[in-house]
Amino acid sequence: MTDDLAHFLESLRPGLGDPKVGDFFAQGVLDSLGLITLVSSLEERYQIFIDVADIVPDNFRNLAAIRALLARCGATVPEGGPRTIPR
Amino acid sequence: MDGTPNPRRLLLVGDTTLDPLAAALAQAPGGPTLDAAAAPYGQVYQILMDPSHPAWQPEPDYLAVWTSPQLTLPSLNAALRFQSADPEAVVAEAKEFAAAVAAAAQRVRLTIVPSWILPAHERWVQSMTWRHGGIANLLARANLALADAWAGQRNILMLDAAHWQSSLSKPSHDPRMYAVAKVMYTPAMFGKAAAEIKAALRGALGRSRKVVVCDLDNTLWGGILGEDGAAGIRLQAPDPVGECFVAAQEALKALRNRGLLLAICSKNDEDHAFSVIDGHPGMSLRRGDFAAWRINWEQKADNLRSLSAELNLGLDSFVFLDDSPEERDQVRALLPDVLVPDCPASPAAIAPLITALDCFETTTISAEDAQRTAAYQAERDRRAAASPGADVNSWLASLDLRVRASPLDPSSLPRAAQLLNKTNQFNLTLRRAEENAFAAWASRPGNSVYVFHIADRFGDFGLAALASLSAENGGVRITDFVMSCRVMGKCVEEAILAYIVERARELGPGPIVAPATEGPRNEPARRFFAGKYSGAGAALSLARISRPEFITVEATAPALVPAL
Repeated sequence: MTDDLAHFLESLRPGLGDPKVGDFFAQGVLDSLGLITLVSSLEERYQIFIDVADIVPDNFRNLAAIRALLARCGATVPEGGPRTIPR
Repeated sequence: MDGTPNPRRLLLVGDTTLDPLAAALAQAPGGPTLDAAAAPYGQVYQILMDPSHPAWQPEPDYLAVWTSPQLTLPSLNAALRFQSADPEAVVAEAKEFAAAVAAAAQRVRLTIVPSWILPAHERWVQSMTWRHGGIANLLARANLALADAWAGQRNILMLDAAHWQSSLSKPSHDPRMYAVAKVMYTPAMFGKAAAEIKAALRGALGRSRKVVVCDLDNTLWGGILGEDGAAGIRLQAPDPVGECFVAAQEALKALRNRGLLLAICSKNDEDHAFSVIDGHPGMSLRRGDFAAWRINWEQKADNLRSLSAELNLGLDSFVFLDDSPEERDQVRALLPDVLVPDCPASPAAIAPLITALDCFETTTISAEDAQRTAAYQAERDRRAAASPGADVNSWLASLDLRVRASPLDPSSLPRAAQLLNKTNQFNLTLRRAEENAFAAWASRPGNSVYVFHIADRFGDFGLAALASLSAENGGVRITDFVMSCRVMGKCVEEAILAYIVERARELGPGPIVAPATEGPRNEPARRFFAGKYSGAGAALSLARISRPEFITVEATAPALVPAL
């Protein structure tokens, strides 16, 4: 499935929008500092708050994990292609 | 110490993770292009004190040291937790930090240190915070101890992180990210820090804007003069809209006072506009505050080009303020070098827009800056005094031009460095150097730097030229030959060259060379020197160098201050 989230993640960092990657950390797509930047970017784009307990590698290991986290945080991720969200 | 192009390397040292600042610096708009790298966090003293620490490789051009007071000053941390309150200990720790930074600063061209701040959520005990031993009191003392310790050091720029913090609409600190990765600040704060660090570097490199060109209607006053009439425009208390335009004018006047040039570009009738500028009681800015104007019905882009020619300053030093989106679009499209900020629709937002612009950064404000507008007016008078039929030589002779030459000394260093770094046109080699580096170069054996104060019967140009010599290969090289664009066209360069050639002769009989560096805008200097050779000779031809009779040159030794 390619949706706004996958496009957005891919725009942040190549590989991050790829649903076939099982572990962003193991495959060198993300590190701990990249994680911090990712959290800020997701918060800004989807107008959510990711609490400290959720800022752990398991929640960002792959696209499915990130999607699940966003759902728990109440984010609305538009389906279909990329969408411009007003900042 | 040279004009090496970008990128320049910036080493970030902090007691928290500064990698996000490196990323923000890479994204921040405007020059200089930086290759910023964060050293491992939490090794501030180790890195500052140890030149062999791996963080110093590859060798950086600049250093930024951003620490938090609660981590760097144990005594302040203790006070924060109500364990003790010892102002002397806090100041002693601050001085120790200042000394470590000062030592490290010698390894780079310029060091930037944000002032110490606490997170905004830290309210401590507000009723006691400014008392002796209170946290606000201690923090202020610590910051002042740094400022005092570095007061004489122009290679350390202390920036105001409290201003960064208060300029944000979002929090500056993020306790979550600190807990997760020792990242203390939010992306918003890192973004602001990156913008301000770059602005400070632009200021130090002399890359700041120099001219603000303003529209009149709905920019300097409310309403449209042609329709509302002089009595109908809004420019005075108690009208709140009028107050806002007064505030905008005051903000511009402050820029003028510190050396920026103001100019007008407006579609209006010139006489009608000046009836307001000269006579309206609400005007803060008067005719004498403007270096030039184009009040007509021409295209604004054409007017800006013509202002650039009149002021002899490139469009890349211009800022254009206009309330009309169409005019702004036109200027942006046709003159991409001009900075065109989005002018806010609300009159209340114009003054804040002007005072928030970071394109006018400078590390020094000289006497020449304060007199700059008057100098341009004197230039207009000079041109007006030239009667149309008279030849240029008799006009020049009538100016009573006087050049006072002196060796560079500490009192002239800030202005000399400013001139060296800001001058693009009459600049032979385009060498750029921060103040300290320039002073160090000047004091090396074999090198000498002369500065020139220039005046005529219309006014004083101040320190408007400099030239430096280096003894080299048995001869002498003219390493710098820099002259303000304001004194171009008066043959002053002939007099200055004749003077420094005499000084070069005192160093020895060898050839005098003046190799030029080709830059995009320094053709005037290159052309002048090209005329000083005979045939294919590599050395200047002394037969072609002489002081024009109508220019007086007087040499003064520095009186009480030692030469550099």
